[in-house]
Amino acid sequence: MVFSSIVFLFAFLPPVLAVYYLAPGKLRNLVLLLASLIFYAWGEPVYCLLMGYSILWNYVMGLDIARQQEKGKRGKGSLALGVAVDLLILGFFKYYGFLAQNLEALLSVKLPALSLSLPIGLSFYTFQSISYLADVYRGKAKSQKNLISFGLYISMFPQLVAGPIVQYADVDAQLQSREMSRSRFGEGVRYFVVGLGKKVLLANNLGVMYREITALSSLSVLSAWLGVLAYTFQIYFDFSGYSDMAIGLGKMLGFEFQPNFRYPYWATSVTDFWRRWHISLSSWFREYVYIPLGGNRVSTGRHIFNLLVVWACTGLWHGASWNFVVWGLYYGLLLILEKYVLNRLGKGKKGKLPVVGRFYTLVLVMIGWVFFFSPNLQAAGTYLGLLVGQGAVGVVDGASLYYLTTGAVLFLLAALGSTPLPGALWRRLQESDWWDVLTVTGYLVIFLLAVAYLIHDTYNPFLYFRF
Amino acid sequence: MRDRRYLNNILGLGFVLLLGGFTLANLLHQDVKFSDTENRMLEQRPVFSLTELMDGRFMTDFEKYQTDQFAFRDQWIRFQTAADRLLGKNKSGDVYLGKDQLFEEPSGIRAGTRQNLKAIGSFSGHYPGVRSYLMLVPDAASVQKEGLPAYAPVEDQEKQLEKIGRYLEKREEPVMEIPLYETLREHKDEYLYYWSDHHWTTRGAGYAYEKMAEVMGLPGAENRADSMEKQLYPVTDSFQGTLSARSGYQVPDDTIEVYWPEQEEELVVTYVQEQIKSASLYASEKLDTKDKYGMFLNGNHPLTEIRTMASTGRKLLLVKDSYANCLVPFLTGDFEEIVLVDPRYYYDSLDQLMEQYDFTDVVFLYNLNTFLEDDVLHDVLG
Repeated sequence: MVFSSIVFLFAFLPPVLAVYYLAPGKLRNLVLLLASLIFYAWGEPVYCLLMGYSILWNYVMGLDIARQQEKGKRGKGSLALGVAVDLLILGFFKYYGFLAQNLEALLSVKLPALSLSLPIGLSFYTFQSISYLADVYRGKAKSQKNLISFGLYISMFPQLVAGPIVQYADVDAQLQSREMSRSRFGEGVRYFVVGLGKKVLLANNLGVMYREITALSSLSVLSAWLGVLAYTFQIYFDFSGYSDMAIGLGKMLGFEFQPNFRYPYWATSVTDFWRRWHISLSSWFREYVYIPLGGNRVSTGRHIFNLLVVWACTGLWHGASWNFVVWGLYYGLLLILEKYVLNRLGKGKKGKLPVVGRFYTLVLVMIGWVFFFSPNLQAAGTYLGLLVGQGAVGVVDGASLYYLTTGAVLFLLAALGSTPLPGALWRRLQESDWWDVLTVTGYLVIFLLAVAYLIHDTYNPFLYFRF
Repeated sequence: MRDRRYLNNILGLGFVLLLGGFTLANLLHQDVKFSDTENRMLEQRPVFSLTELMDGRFMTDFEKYQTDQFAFRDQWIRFQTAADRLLGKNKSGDVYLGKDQLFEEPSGIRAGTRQNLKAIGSFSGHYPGVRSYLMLVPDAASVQKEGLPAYAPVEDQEKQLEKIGRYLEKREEPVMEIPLYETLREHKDEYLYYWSDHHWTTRGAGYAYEKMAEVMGLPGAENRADSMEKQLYPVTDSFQGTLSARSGYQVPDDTIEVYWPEQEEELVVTYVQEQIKSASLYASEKLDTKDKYGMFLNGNHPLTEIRTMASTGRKLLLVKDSYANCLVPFLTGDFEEIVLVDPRYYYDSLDQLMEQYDFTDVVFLYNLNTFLEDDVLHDVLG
């Protein structure tokens, strides 16, 4: 199930909220766990077993690490075994096809072909499992003795499908007890409605445009750029919208999750961009890969190596194809370049011209998305060529003018929504009563609009669904 | 900084009321079988079974059911299209919104198109004694392209037709084209296509008939085509067709005219598989339904046989889609018998029909867009 669906909003959420709030405090985790299993089974009944297995395995391994540590050992073996099995499951379902393909191409070794669909949310809950084992191992959190609480941590429906990736130490206490109040519920509604609006009103409409542009039989340079721009906005509003909905639902249920996006397209450098984009994923890689590798407290050569490893992994996490590896390494190289070259060159001038930085970052990020959305490297190369006129039918054609004119309002809304400006304006205006009325009405109208689009529109994909 | 809590409380309450209210409204809402506005069957409550649960079909169907049976669905749709227009969009699904007229987005040429053309060619080759024609009717999006939204990136049907012509010529297929693009373009400012529907009007069909008569040398043409316009009679002025249903866009009601020649002719229409006979080419009861275009030859039927009073010695096999339905009334003075086959619903072989009747002419009459999307014609021919 996804949040942006009629069935979630009007068949799943109301009874779950009702039962959750009516249930006595002790039973709430159980209610939520059962709701999460139904939520998961709705999309993939069979893979429920896999998730159940994952929950049991990590629960047992967590207890095992704790037991060994009680005996004075470090529990390194158990940690390694636990993580290895988690990664093996992820690897099998996500990378088997990719591996088989490459082995055949490189070594002519033929593995039997399997057509496995990637279990929903596997990439996300595997990372949460690893976070749990590592946090217990490092003593950042105690092992979870209550199976229901642990199962809830892995499967909790707000962040099950697409994150944010919650680190165990962050929610450990909340699994035991959390505060719920009307005000927090309302705050959750605010996040949820904004997220739903981003997803359904902006991302889906931009997605239609991206799909139509890339389906054109010939592209002009302007069309090609409009295509990337549409995708650039689509993926941001799609994914950040989903994160906002997750955070909002979390708040409605009494949980606090860390923000996952902070206006990434407002970043003044690529380094800055990655502090603002999919924050929970970068934090996870920093916490569990980069720092264990030594981080930046090592020689320059080793540091560069560490960065490249992390970024190749980040790329690969997004999908089992060379595109994503290239996409990850592209960022790795840009970050190295910024750290070791640009920062030295630009010392003292920093912060003087944020506009230049923003423009430079946005263009590089858009080029990055070309690798991301293309089906293979060759297609990515072709598309990059179109952006500079190679293979394009002129600079401007009728189609590009069509999408420019009919998409102008949408692009404008998306561009404004990508900056902190509307939020700042809102905060300045909120010192009056009539503004409060307007605000509440505004949120509810966004909600109703999103519902109308869900009822009528047929195009409602979710980009991060299969990651 | 003002107290946000108060604001949050009200918002939370509003959200719960909306969520609960609509959930309740949906529970109380009576399921509807058919949507008149959208002109389609709505999804019904899926039957629960373990297999359908395990492979996920139950969930997919249930989601469709929820969406289709949402309380106040028509109003939601109007709300959505209004918002879409505010966003500056003028396309909903595959329908463009022009000035007071809707246009179906034309399809591209596909691999199946070549297959169909080849099949038409070899079928015609089998019957050298029978004259064989292909008449593809371009869509409003090309004939009346001036009415499309500015810069709308649609397929160029004029080029598509040229391409098809070149293909047939190169392969020397024994089938003659009846070219309509120029003919219809000459009348582009007239009411050739319904504003709210994907069909052409009887007037559009009338101009096509003139061209047909010229190419095929139809005997009855002289005394008919001249006065075509004078013999059109409106039968309804409240037609909202498939395009407005599909898109949710509102355009003015269409008027349906029928061709009613001055000298009344007697004829017998037989819907063969249904075993129904009628003395009229029109099914006026359809005018009381949503599917008003269905009044022409009672909608789509696999096999229809028409006997006329003409004594011209010619018999016609018309392999066609629904575009032919409003053109047939023009043909009744030219052919003693007209047999209509709609390959989308007809599963027997055409060779059998060719033996049974002694046809002098075969016409393949399709709307270009339907023809490009068709993938059954070559099966019926082969």
